[in-house]
Amino acid sequence: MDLLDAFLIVIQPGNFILLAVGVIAGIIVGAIPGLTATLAISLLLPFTFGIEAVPALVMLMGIYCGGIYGGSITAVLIRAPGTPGAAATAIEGYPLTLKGQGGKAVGMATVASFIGGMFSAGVMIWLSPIISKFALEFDAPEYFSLALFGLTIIFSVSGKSLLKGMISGVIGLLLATVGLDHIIPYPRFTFGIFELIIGFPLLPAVIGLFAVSEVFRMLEKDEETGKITAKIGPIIPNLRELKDCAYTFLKSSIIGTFVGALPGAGANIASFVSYSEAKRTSKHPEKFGTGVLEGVAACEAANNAVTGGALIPMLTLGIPGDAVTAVLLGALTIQGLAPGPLLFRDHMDVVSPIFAAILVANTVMLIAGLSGARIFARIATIKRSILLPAIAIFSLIGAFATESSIFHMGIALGFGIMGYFLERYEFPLAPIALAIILGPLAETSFRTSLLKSDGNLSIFFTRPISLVLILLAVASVAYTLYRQLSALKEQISE
Amino acid sequence: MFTNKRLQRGIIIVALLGILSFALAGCGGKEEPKKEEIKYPTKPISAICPWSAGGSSDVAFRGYLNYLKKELGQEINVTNITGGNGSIGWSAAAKADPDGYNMALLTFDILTVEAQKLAPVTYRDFDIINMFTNHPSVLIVHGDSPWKTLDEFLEAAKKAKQEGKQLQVGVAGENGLWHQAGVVMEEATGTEGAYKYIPFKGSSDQLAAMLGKHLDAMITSTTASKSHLEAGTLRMLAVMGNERLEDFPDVPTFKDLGYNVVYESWRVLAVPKGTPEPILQILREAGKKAFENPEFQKWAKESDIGALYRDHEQTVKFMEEQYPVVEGIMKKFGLLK
Repeated sequence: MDLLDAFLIVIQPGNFILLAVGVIAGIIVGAIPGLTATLAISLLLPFTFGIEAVPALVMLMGIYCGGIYGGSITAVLIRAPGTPGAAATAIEGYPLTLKGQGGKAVGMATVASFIGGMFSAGVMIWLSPIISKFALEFDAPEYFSLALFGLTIIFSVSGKSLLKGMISGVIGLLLATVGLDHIIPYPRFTFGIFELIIGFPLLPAVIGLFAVSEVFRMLEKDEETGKITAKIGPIIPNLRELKDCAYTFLKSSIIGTFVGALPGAGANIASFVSYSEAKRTSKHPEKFGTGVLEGVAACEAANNAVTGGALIPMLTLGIPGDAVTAVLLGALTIQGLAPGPLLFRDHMDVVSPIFAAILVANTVMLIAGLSGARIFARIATIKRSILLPAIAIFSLIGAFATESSIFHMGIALGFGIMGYFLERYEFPLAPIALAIILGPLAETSFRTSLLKSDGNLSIFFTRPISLVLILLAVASVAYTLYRQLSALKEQISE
Repeated sequence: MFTNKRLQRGIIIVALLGILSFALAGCGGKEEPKKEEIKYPTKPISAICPWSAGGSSDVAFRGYLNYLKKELGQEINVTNITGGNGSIGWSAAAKADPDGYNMALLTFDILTVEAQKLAPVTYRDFDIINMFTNHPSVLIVHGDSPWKTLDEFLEAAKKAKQEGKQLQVGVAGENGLWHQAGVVMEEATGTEGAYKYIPFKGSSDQLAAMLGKHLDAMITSTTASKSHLEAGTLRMLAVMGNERLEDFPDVPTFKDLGYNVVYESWRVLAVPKGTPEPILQILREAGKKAFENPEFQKWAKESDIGALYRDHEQTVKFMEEQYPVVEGIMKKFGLLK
């Protein structure tokens, strides 16, 4: 079955309605802090038992695309990342809302998500075998070098003070050591609190850090302002703004697709890497952190490009690229289809509609997103006496929802209080989130590598991909130091 | 502003509905079941799966419950409470009200959790309904590897050991089921110390490393690898079960080859200890019927979950026999540390 036939199947009224419902449900669930695409798909999974494979998968693809995009809306408007993958989006998106350009930030996020999603779908359709083969080259040493490179992004997301950014990063790394050791299963730093053996779960931590702390911060402001912002501004980015971001779209889409294809890395890492890359090559890097559209574009193009990327190893090898595709893998299994090398040989009747569904889902997402953006953006203009309790409630419910755990609500609250104080003393929060994301990956892959090499560190330098990533990390540090030094020189000469 | 007010009202309603729905979900009836005429079940049942949604255990569990709920005539809602090698979910499940409206999936790992003293929870905190799957561990190598049979592989392991090297064997979950299976294998085949066990978070990471040829072999179940085994990208050398696998009749068991290596993982439906006897009876009957349902059998075969039924007495006896073995291996790990 070729792609055109598959298109015709997907746009049949019955399938199309399921797809559109999936996209919209995905956007809504994704937008609510703590309710992620993973959760939406897990909740809907039992319903797909009864229906046929193609309609079921078409709907799931809709939820997937919508859910990943939806996370950006609340990240931009109220600094509550709907999914961990949208945490980086909040860095530029929320300042834009404060400046009264929330509408445009949502618009840009929508366009960027569409571009990222379409790009990765294209790669998935035409380059799956090559990409999955390359992804398999990654073993523990490569993952460690990738995480090391990722940690240098702390410099990009530090804001004014590099030192304070690094302190934040170290706080995050320390927090990431809490919980069961992944190599020798022994609980670390849990102080006898049984629930902590899984460590600080990412989602409640991120919600607490960004959303809950912001509620506290806004409580401090005097009542007169009343709203986060009074203006929404225009929605659809104009041609010049799009042109300025063209290069960012492309780079972020590539980064997102590739990171998505790696079984050990997902949307949260992809968006941080893209953000850092956009800042590095920007004409005005000093403006980053104060609300730059390019920053939003970078994160959103990247995290939606992860969708196509993550499906590559899932479909070709039966290895999920992230948490959502792990659930999708289960959905395929329930349908009696075993993802892997034989899927493409025996079941093109299912694979082609999946491809077509992703392309259509991204288009539906673009239309729904742009037409809904003005309505979404009004969230930020709601009176604070109503908005703040609502954010607080949704954040805590979100923290609770994934694992039905009251303890997770406590974690969100604790991280909220910590985030509030850190920000008050100008310690940036993004490095903490980044370090919590990368810490476990870095630690586990480092120790596994050394286990494999009998403690010999050369394993990181003798493997080509690992070496390239380490050199990138070194270059990234050197570049930051160089910029700092030249800024210092300028100050002195003034 | 009119629209704003409307929106505000809308948001309040949504928020209230959200709270209400969670409050309702929390209402697992505290009422004591009447001893005489028992009407069960009269409302939806909650079930805890300690493994992540979409994983092989989750799929098998939901698949089975799908048929169990037809027998009971009530919806069964699954919650995934994951982490800590299953111990978080089991601890929550053991604390739930024993009123028949809470159930849980137990897997082999609950023995490991107990032996490691990871959490104060054991299978004895539950009343067993029945076992519904039992899956042997298997030894798999890459399709391109030079080893076509188990003996060739063992030969290579011995040779490596003589040269002071070790073969790298992937085991998802350090100290877990497959790592333990490896220890049983090396003892039974005279290849002690010939393997270096590389831990992975889950079977999919393990599979990726195997496909990328970053491992010499892996011990796993066939669930994640099935399509690669059929396609020939991976090769199964031997099965750690009492019988050969139905789907792979050409692959011998370790026993066939003269090595006593049986290491299996199982899935059991259970309820918190103290659930009233009449309810247990209803559940056990329903559990048996659901398992015997031809539609379930057909689905189980297609999904390769390793369906096997053992009633509650057989299951408890089975676990009692298995626990000392697990404990012994854990002690060995402790000595090795």
